[in-house]
Amino acid sequence: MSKHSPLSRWSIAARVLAALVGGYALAYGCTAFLSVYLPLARPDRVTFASLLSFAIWTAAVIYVFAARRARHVWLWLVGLTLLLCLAAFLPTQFGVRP
Amino acid sequence: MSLRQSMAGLHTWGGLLPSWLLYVIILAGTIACFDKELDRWMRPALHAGEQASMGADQVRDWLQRNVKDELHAFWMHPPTEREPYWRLGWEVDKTQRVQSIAFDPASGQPMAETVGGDFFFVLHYALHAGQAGIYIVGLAGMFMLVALVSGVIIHRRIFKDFFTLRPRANGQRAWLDAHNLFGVVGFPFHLVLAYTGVAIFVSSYMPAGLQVAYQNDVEHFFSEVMGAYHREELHRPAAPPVSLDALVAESRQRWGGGEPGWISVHHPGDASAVVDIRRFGTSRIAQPKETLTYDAASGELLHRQQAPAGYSTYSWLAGLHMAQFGGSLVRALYLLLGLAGCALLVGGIQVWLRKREARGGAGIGVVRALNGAVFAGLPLASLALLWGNRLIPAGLAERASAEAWVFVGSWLLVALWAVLARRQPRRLLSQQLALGAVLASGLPLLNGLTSAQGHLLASLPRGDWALAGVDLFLLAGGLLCALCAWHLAKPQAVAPARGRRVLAEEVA
Amino acid sequence: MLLAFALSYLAMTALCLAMPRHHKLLLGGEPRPTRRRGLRALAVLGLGFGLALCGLLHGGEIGAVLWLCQLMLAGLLLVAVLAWRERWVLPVAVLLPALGVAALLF
Repeated sequence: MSKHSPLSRWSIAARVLAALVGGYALAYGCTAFLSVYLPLARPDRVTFASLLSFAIWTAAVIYVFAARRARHVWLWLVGLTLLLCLAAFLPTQFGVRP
Repeated sequence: MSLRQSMAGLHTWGGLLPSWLLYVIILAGTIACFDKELDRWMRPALHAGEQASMGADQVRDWLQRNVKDELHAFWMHPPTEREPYWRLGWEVDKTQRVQSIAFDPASGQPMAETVGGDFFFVLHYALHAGQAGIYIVGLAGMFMLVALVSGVIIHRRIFKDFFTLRPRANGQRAWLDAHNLFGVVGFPFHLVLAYTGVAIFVSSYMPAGLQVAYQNDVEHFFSEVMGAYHREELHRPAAPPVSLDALVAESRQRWGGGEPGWISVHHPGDASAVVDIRRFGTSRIAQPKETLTYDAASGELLHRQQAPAGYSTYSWLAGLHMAQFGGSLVRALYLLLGLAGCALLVGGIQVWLRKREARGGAGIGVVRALNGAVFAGLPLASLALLWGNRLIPAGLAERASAEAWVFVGSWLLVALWAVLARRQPRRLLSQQLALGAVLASGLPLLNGLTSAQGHLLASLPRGDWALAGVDLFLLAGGLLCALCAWHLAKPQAVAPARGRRVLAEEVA
Repeated sequence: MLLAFALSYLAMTALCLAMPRHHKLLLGGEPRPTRRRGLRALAVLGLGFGLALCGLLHGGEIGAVLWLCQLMLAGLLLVAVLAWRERWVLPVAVLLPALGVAALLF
C-alpha cells in the first residue's frame, strides 16, 4: 500500500478504531433508542431494534472509511451516540413500559 | 481519496485479514448442513437402522439411577428421522457443567462416546471456544458484511461483467473474475447467511435492549421476549413427578397431532419443577414456537407459548440460517452455495497474492503458509477425525476427547507442513490433494471394515440413503481430489491458443 | 425440481444472450433492441415459471428459498459452461428443460 499523506499509519488506526468501537457504540445507541421509542410492545421493540443493529454497525463502518475528514467521523459518531443514549436511558419510566 | 479508493482499501484489508477465519466458519457450517447424517455415520450402533423402543420415562429412570447430583435441569429428545435415537443431557446445579449421552436404540444403554456431527456445528458458531468463540465468530461475521457491501461498491461493472469468466486470462484477471463471479452470483446467499448468522446470537452481541427496557433482568427478558414461562425455585423438596410419556401424549393432542422435540425439566428436585415440551417440525422455515409448560408433579398445564411478533421474526431469520426445513434438498443447495462462499474467499486471496507476487514482500510467505495450513488443513483434519472415529476403540474412556485430539493434532501437522513448504505452493497443494484423495476414498473402505451394517454394500440395497450418501460423497470427493492433484502435478505448460473470437469488449 | 432448475438456467442464458458481448460470441452479430427485449422477456418468464413451480412443489415459503438457491447455482453453472465449453451453452439450454419435462412426465 502506498503511503501518501492521507494514509498515515495513525489515520488508518484512528479510522479502524472509529469503525470498531465507534460503530458499535452507534449501533448500541440506536438499538437503545429504538427499544424505547418504537411504537410497539416491549418484547417486539427490543427484538426488532436489536436485529437492526448489525445493519447500523455495517453502515457506520462504511461511513467511517468513506468520509473525507476523520474529524467529522468522530464528531458524528460520538455526538449521535451520546444523543441517542441520553434519549434512551434518561426517561427511565418510558423505557420499561410494557 | 475517492470513495472507490477508500472502499477498495477497506475491502482488500478488511477482506484479507479475516479470510482464513471466515473459511473455517463457512466450511464448518457447510459440513454441518449434514451434521446429523455424519453423526449417524460416526455411530456404528445406529447403522442397522433399528427403531428405538424407549420412552421418556425410561430415559428419566436411567438418569435417576445413574446421576445422583442435584440437577439444575435435564433435557431429552425423542428419536427423529435424521437422529433415530434418544438423547439426554443434564446440568448439575451450581456448576456450568453440561453432560450428554445418546442411547443405543437396540439395547437402551448409552452408546460409545463420540464428538459426532455436532462437532462441526459447534466449530462453526463458536470455534469450540465457548462464549469467547461466539464473540469471535460474530466479529468475523461483521467483517464479512462489510466486505460484501464494500465489494459491491467497488465493483465497476457489476451487471456487464455478471457472466464474465476468463480462465485463460493472466492470473490476477482470471482470479478476479472468479472472485467476482462467486461474490455477485452468490450474493443473496452470502448476505443472508452472514446477517442471519450474526442475528442468531443477537442477545449476546447487542445487550442494549435488555439494559434499557428490562433493566438487566435477564430472566424476565428471555421469558417475555420468547413468550415463554419461568417459575422461581420454591426451595422445597419435589413431589413425585408425573409420567413424561403422559405429558407427551397430552401435548400431541393439544398441538393437533404435532410431534414433540426437546423435553426439558427445570429444577427437577424442587417443588417448583416444570416440564417444557417443545414442538418439533421441519415444514416451515421457522421452527415451531408452541412450547407447552406443565407442572412436573401434578401435570397441570401452566403455559402455552405465545411468541410475540418480534420473536417470530427472529425465529424465521434463525430458521433461514439453520436450514432444518425442506429436507435434504435445501441442505444440499446450501452445501453447494457454502462451497461457493469458500471459493469466494480463496479467489480473493489469490487476487491479493497475484498482485504482489511480482514485487515480492514479507506478507506473501505468511499468506502462502496460512493458505496451505487452513484451506487444506481443515478438510484434511476433518477427514482425519473420521478416521479417528473408526479406529479409536469403543471402550476407551474420554473417547470423544481422543477424537478431538486427532482433529487438532492432524491440523497442526498439516500446518507445520504448509509452513515448511510455503515456497512451492503448487506442489504443496498437489500433495495435499493427493493425501485428501487417499483419506477420503479410504473412509468408505474403513467403514466396511469396522461396521458390518454401515458400508455401501449394505446400506445401498437397504435404501439407506442418509448413510450411503456420506460414503458416496467421500468417494466422489476423493476422486475429485485425485483428479485435481494429478492435474496440478503435471508441469505447467503454456496453454495453446484456442480458436476463439476475442471481442473488443473482452479486452477491458 | 429438475424442470425448475432448467427454467432458471434458461432464464440466465437468456439474460446472458441479451448482452452484446455474449450474444456476439454465441450467436454472432449485435443483438437488435427487439431481440434484446425478447430475450429479457423470455428470462422473466423462465424466472416466473420456475418460482411458481417451486412454490407448487414445496409450498410458498420453502419454495421461494429453493428457487433462489437453485437460481444462483444455475448462474454459476452457466458461467462455467460459457468459460470452458462455450459451444455447449445453447445445447444445454435446450436439453435441460427437455429433460426436466421428461422427468415430470415419467
